[in-house]
This record gives sequence, structure tokens and C-alpha cells, in this order.
Amino acid sequence: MSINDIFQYIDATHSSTALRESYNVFPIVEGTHVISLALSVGLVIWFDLRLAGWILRDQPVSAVFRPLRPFMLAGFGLTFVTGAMLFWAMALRCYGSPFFWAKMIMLVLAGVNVMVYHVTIDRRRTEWDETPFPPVQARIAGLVSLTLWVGIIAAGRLMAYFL
Amino acid sequence: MWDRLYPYFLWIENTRLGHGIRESKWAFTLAEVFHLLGLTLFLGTVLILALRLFGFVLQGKSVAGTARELMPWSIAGLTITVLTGTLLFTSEATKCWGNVAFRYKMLFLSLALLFQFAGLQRVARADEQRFHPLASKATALVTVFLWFGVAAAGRAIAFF
Repeated sequence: MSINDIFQYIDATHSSTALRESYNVFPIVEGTHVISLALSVGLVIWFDLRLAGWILRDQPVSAVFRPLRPFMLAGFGLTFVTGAMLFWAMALRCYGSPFFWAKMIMLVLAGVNVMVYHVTIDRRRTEWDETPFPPVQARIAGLVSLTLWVGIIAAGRLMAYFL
Repeated sequence: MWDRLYPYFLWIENTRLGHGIRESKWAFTLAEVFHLLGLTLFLGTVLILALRLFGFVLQGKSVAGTARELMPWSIAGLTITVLTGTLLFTSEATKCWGNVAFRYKMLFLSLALLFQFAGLQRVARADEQRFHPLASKATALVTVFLWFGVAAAGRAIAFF
């Protein structure tokens, strides 16, 4: 079973057709997907910028990250669920969109970046939590995340434009 | 009142800039991409400042200090969003004129800008004792809802 078969199967499901053809649900899901960006990416930016040593240098990294975490997680939850619904409704068109694949690759890279950060430099955070400029590896993780999110938003917008 | 504005909308649409954006293959799309990026940056700063006023984040830093530090990012995000929004509008002004979502967006936008600069920024930068905490929080909440209203109405322009 190829990826194309899976996408075709999804596209042909009753729920996919219903979502695609609905007058109200689809626009609401799409609108929520876009607006929840402010809560997900809009907040993760500040953690990334702090890791990069660009802002809030007088605050410990953990003091920026920890209180923001529940809000970011709620935001990302909303963004991912609505995004998955949009994909479900448009599976075949996504398959043919280069922007969709670019977006998926960047999402995976963003996930890998988070994992690498947490299992390496973040393990020793107590040593650098309060330094204005975190170690190079942490700063790179922040900048990589920022760059990827800009790319993901751009690819997502372009994808919708050309579907 | 709105009817009398139509000639101006038509004029804007027929400027060289309006024509240029419509005829270019990428201008409109790129403006949309940056509109969304600017909006994400700007709304993020509004949310963080509101969360700080509520005492949920950055308790180690004063509200005024947080507002000051966010300011350049906030202004940058808002500037990008407004500039690209103006470009998008210029290319399809008459469509916007007849679009009910656009009218709501402009209404929310005026109120949101007012609350942002005369409300949220003011209570955030004032001495902590000057405004009642409840008044500050209410201002923050209204400002956040107005900005999300602007974003929702903006998204809805495409659906009408």
C-alpha cells in the first residue's frame, strides 16, 4: 500500500467528503487553524528568542519557558487538531502539493530539533539557566526553531493558495 | 455613508500599485504570507503582555518592563501586518467595499488599535498602583478579544 493509496482512501471516506463540502464547518476549522497560530507559534517565538539570547536576558530561561508551556501546548493542540482535520478533508490535493510536503518535512525537523534540545543541552540547563546568552547549542536550537516556524507558516499559506 | 466611499475604493484599486499587485503572479501571495507572519508575531506579543498582566507568566519581571521589552517586536509585527494588509486591500478594494466581513474587520481594527494604545499599553506602563488590577485585567481581556475578532473577520473576508 503506497502513500498515495492511503491518501486516496482518506479522501474517499465519508467524513472527508462531509468536511470538504460543509458550508460552515470547513471555514470554522480553517479559521481556527490560522488564528490558533498566535497561541502556538506566537508564544513559542518568545522561548526561541530567549534561547537565542535576543530578549528577556534578565530572566532565567526556565522562567520564560515554564509558565508559557501550558498555553503553548493548548495552542499547538488546537493547531494540530484543526490542521489534521483540514488534511483529512483535502488529502488528495495535499498529496499533489509540493508546499504540503515541504511543510511536513519542516514539521518533522522542528520536532527533531525539540527532541535533540531536550535530550542534550537542556539536560545541563541548571548550569546556564540564568546566563543572558545561553550556550551555542541552545542558541542554535532557538534559531533553528524560529526559522522552521517561519517556513512552516509560509508553506502552509502557499499550500492553501495553490490547492 | 459607506456608499459615498465607493469612488475612493475604486480609485485605490485603479492606482498603479493596485494594478501591479493584481498582475504580478507572486505579489498577492507573498503579501498574504507576510501578513500572516506579522500577525503571528504581533498577536504573540499582545498575548504575552495580557498573560503578564494576569500574573500567569514572567512574574520575575515588572509589567512595565515586560511591556517595554516587547514594544519593538510588537511594533514590528503590527507594521508588517498593516503594510501587507494595505497592499492586499489596494489590489481588491472594491471587493472589500462590498464585503461584510471587511466592514466588521475595520470596525474591530479601529477598536482594537484604540484599546491597544490607549488601553493595554497605558495600563501596562503605568505605576502598578495607578489602575485597579481588575480594570487592567479587563482592559487586557477586551484588547485580546478585539484582536482575535480582527483576525477572525479578516479570515472571513475570503469566505464571502
